[in-house]
Amino acid sequence: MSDEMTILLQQADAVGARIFEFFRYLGSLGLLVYLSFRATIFGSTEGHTHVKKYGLRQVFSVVSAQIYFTGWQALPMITVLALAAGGIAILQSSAQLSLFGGTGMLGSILVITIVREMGPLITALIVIARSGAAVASEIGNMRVHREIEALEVMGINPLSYIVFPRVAGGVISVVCLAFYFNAISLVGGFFVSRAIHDLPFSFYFESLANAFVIEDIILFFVKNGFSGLMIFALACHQGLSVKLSSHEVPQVTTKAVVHSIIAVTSFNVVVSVIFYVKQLVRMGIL
Amino acid sequence: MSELKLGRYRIRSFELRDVGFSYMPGSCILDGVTLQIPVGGITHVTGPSGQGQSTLLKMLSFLVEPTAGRILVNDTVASEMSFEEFLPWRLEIGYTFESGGLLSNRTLSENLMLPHLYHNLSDIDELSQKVLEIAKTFRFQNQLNQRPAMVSGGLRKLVTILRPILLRPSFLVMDDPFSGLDPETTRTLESLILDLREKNEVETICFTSRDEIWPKRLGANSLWVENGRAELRGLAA
Repeated sequence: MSDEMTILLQQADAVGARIFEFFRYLGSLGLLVYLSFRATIFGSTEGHTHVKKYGLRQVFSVVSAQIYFTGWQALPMITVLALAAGGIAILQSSAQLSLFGGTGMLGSILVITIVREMGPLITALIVIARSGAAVASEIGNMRVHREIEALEVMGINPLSYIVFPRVAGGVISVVCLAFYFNAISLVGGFFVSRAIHDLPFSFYFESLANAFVIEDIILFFVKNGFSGLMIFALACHQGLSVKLSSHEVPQVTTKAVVHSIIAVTSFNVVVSVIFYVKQLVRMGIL
Repeated sequence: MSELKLGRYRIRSFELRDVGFSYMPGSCILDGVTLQIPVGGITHVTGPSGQGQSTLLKMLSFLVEPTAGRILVNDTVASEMSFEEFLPWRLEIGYTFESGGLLSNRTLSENLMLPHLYHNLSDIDELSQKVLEIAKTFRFQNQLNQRPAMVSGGLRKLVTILRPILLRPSFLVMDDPFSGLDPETTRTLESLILDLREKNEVETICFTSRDEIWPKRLGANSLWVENGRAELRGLAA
C-alpha cells in the first residue's frame, strides 16, 4: 500500500473515531437523563409507594431550589437584557422601515428576531454562564468531597437526588425565563416604538398578533426545552466525571460551558433552518 | 425508632469470592481475594499503608465494584445487583468516611436526618428529638444548625460516624473512625458502639485504625491486607 493511501486511511480512521466518540458522548448524556428520570419515577423505593412519596418530597425540594437559583435569581439580568434586546431590535429596524413606511412590520420583526431567535439563544447563554457552570463545579466538588458516595451509602440514588432535580429544574427554568425574556422584550419594543413612531398600543399589539403563527409555540418549546435539557445534562455529566481531584473541577466546568454553547447554538441554527425551509416550501418558493 | 417502613434484609453472610480490584489497568490493589467476613464479629482490617485496606472497606460497603470476582451477601450475588435491587441490604450496611462525606449545603442536623426522611424511616419529631439527644451526648447541640464548613474537622468526622449509627445498621464499616477526634469524644463514641453491639443492634463491625489499643480492647479479628491479598489472622495481636 502506498504511503499516501496509508495516510489517507489514517485520516479517515481519525475522523471515524471522532464521529464515534461524538455519538458515544451523546449516548452517555441520553442515558444519564433517562436513568435519572427512571430512578426518580420508578426507582429507589419500588413497591413502597408511601416511602416513594417521602423520597420524592426530598427530590422536589432540590428541584424547587434549582428553579430558584436558575430561574428566579436570573430575572434581574434577563430583564435588563430583554428590554435592551427589544428596544435595540425596534431602534435598528425603525430607521429602515421609516423609509418605506412599513411600521406595520414591527411585529413581524420582533417575533422573528426576538421570539424565534434571540430569546432562546440569549436565555440559554445566560443560563449556561450562571447555572450550567455553577452546577458542573458544584457536582464536581461534591465528587471531590465524597458527597456522592455519601448519598449512595445512605441508599439515596445520586441520579434521582442530584441529576434529576437539576435537569428537571433547569428545563422548567429555561422555558420560563425564555417566556419572560420574550414578554419583557416585547414591552421594551413597545416603549421604543412608542417613543419613535408614537404608535398606539392597539396598533402595536395587532401587529404582534398578526405576526405570531402556531409554529412559534412549537418552536419556543422545542428550542428552549432542548436548551435546558442539554445545558443541565452536560453540566451534570461533566461534574460527575470528576474522579476525586479538585484540579479537575475547573476543567470540567470549562468543558460543560463550551459544550453547552456549541450544543445550544448548533441546535438553534438547525431548527431555524428547518423552520424557514418549511416556510419557503409552504410559500411555494422551494 | 418508629415502625420501619422500608424492607431491610438482615445480613447473615458476607463473602468475597476471587475478588480483584484496580483503579487503572496494570495497578492491582486487590487480586483474587476470597474470604468470609465474620458476621456477628468485629474485624480490624490492617496491614502496611497503601495496600488497599480502605478500598476493601469501600468494597464491603458497595461504594466500589470489584473489577473481578463477586461479592455474595446472604449467598446472593450482590455485586451485580442494581442500586434499587440492593437497597434493602444497603440500608443494613453503614459506612463512615475517613474524610469528607457530609453534604456541604445541608446543616449538620439535616445531614443526620436525610436518610431517615428520604426513606421515611422515622417520624420527623421523633427523629429531631433523637438527633438532639445524640448531639447533647457529644456536646454539639449548639452547632446542629451549622453547615459542615462552619464547624471543626473533628466535628465533621463525628457527624459522618453518627449518621450511619443513627440508621442502626447491622453491618458497620468504619474507615479509620477515631483519627481526628479528641480523647473524650473517642471514649463516648466507643462506648456508644459497644452498647449498640451489646443490644445486638449493630452485629458486625469492620474497621481500619491506626490505633493499636482499640482493636485489642474490642477483641477484633485481624484481617491482614498486603500485596493484593487479604487474610484473616484471628484475634488482633
